[in-house]
Amino acid sequence: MIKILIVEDEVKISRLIELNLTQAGYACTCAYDGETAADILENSRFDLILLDVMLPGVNGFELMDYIRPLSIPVIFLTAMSSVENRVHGLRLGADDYLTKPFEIVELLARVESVLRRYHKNDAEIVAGDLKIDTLSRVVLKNGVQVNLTVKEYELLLFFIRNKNIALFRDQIYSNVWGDDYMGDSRTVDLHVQRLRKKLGWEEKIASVYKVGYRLNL
Amino acid sequence: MKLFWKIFCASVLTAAVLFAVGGYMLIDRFFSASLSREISSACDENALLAYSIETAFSGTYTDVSAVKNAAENISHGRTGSTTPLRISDLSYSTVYTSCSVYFDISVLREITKSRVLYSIEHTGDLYYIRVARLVTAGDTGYYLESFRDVTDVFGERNSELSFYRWLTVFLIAADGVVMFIVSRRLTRPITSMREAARGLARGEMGVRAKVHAAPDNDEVGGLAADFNRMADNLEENMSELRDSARRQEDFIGSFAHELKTPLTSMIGYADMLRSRQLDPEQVVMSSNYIFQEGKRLEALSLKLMDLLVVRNSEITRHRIRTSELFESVVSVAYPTVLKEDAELSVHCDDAIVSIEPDLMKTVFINIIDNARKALDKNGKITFNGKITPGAYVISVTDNGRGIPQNELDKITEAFYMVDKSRSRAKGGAGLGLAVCAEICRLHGTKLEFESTVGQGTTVTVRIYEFEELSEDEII
Repeated sequence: MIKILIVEDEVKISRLIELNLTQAGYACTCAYDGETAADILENSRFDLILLDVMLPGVNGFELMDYIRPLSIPVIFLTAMSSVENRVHGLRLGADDYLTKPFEIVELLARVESVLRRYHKNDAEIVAGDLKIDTLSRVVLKNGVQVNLTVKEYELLLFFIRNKNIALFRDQIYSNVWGDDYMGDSRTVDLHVQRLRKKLGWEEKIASVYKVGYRLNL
Repeated sequence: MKLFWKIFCASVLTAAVLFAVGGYMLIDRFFSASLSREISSACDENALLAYSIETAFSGTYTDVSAVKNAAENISHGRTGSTTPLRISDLSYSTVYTSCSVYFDISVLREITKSRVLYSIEHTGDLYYIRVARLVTAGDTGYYLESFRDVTDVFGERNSELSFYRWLTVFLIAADGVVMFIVSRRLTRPITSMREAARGLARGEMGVRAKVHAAPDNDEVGGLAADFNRMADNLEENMSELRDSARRQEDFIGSFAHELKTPLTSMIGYADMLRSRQLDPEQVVMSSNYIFQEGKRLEALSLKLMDLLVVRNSEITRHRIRTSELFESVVSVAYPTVLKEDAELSVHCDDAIVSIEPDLMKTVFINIIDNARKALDKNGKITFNGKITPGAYVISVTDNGRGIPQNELDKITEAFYMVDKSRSRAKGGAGLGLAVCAEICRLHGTKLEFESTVGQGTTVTVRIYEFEELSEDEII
C-alpha cells in the first residue's frame, strides 16, 4: 500500500485530506507541525509527502531541506498562490503545487500523477471484473480483452481513480479532455454510454440526477 | 568640457589678453612721449643751427665753399655730441655733409620757405630724426638737414617690450597656478555632488556629497549641504515607502492565508458532501466543520470591517468616570477569564477621562483577552488604573508566556501572531491588536508593551485628557 505523510497544521484540512486519500486507498499519517513531521520521517518511510508551507515553528520551505536527501516526492499545499511562491517551492525540489482552496478531484489527480511519475502506482489495476495493465493499456474483462478508444480508456481510469465519488460533468470533461466544460456538450454522456455498453457496466456506472455519474464498486 | 577647465581656461586667456594689451599700451605711451620730446629738441637744435648759419651769412654773397666752411665750423664748434648735418643747394646737390650714412634726398622737394619737415629715418640698426628746413644765406637758399640719433629710444622700447613679454609669460603662469587652485576649489563640491547624485540614481541611498566650506558663506558649499539634506529626506521617505509596501505585502499575504484556510475546509467538506455517499456521522462532522469555518470567516470579516471603519473615522469624546469604564470592561472580560481558571484583580483610581467609551472598552477587552490567551496554569491578570502627573495610566499585566523582544514592534500589525497555530486554536485572526492600536492612535496615544519571555507582559495606555474628581463628586 502506498504511504502518504500529510503535514498540515489546520486539523480540519488535514482530516479532509486524510479522509479522501484513505478512501482512495492510500495509507495516511498526519503531522501538525514541522518538528513532528521531521521526527516521523526519521522512523518511517513514505512514498509521498503533502506539505503545507505556513507551519508553526519550522515552515514547509525549511522542512524541504530536511526532506530532499530522503528523495521522497513532495506536493506543496499552500494558500500563497503567487507565481514567485510556486517557483520558489518547485526550485526547492517539490514535484507539484496545490493551492488552497482545492477540489478533492484535483487533490487525487495530482497525487496520482506524481506517484505515476515515480512509478509508485501499481502497474496493474483490478476493479470489479476488470483487470487493467496501465503500461500496455490493455483492459481485460474476465480474461477477455475489451477494445476501448483513447478517450474511453482515460474516462475509465478517471472513474476508477475516483470510485464512489459523484463526478460532475464539468469535472469529467476538464479532467479527461483537458478543456473547460462549455455546459451544453453531450460528449461526456456519449462516451459514458459507449463505455457502459462495452464493459457491460450499465449498473456500476450510475447516473446521478442533475450531477453526472458515479462508479459504484 | 568640464566646468573646471572652462573656468580655468577662460580666466587664464582673459588675463593673458589683458596683460598683453595693457602692457603694450603702457610701453607705447612712454615711447611716444619720449619720442615727441626728442622730436621737439631736434627741431630746436635745427632752428638754432639755421639761425647761426643765417646770421653768419646775412647780407653777403656766399659761394658754396664759404657755406661749407661755415657749416664745418658750426658743426665742429659745437662741442659734445656732434649733430650730423647736411647742407644741400637748391638743386638738391649736397654742399656739405657730416653724416656717416646716406639719407634719401628726395623729401627736400616738399620743403617750402615756411615749412619745416621732420621724419624718422631708419637705416641699419640706427634711428634718426631728420629735421629739414630752407635757410637763406646771402642771396641764395640752402637746405639744412640735421639728424638726431634716437636709436636709444627705440632700443629702450624694444628691450622693455621683450622684458614685458617674459613678464607676461611669468604672470600668466602665476595666474594659471592661482586659477587652477581656485577653480579646483570651486568645482570640488560640484564634482562630489555629482558623484553623490549619480550614486542616488544608481539606488545607493547612503552616498552623500562632501561639504568643504561652511554652508553660510559659500553658495556652492551651501548647495552641497542642501543636497545632502534632500538626500536624507529622500532616503527617509524611501525607507518609509519600502516599509509600508512590506507591511502591505504582509497584510495581503496574511489576508490570503486567513481567508483561504477556512475556505479550503468549507469547499473541501462541501465537495465531499455533494459527491460522496457518507455515513450520517460523517455528514454531521462535515457540515459542522463547514459551519465552524463559516463562523470563522464571519468573525474575520467583522474584525476587518472594524479595522477599516476605525481607520477612517473620527471620534467624539465623552467625559466618563473611569470606575464606570472599568466596570463595563470587567463585566465582559471576567467570564472568559474565569473559564480559564485564572484570576483577574482590578484596581482603579476614580477620575474623569475624555474618551470614546465604546472604542476604548474594545481596546481593554481585547488586551485582557490576549492576556488570557497567553496564560498557563495559575494565571493571574491585573487590570490597573492610576492617576499620574500628566496622564491617566491604564495597564494590563499578566504572568503568562511573554512576547520575545524582536516581535514586540510587529504585534500590532494586522494578522501578526506570535504563536501562529496556538492563537488560531484559541480563536484569533490576528487583527485584535491592530484594531486596538488604531483606536489608540485616534485618541492621540499608543499601546506600550513591556514583556519578558516566561514571566509575562504589561500593556500600558496613557490617556492624557483627564480630570481628577472634585471633593463633592467623590461619594
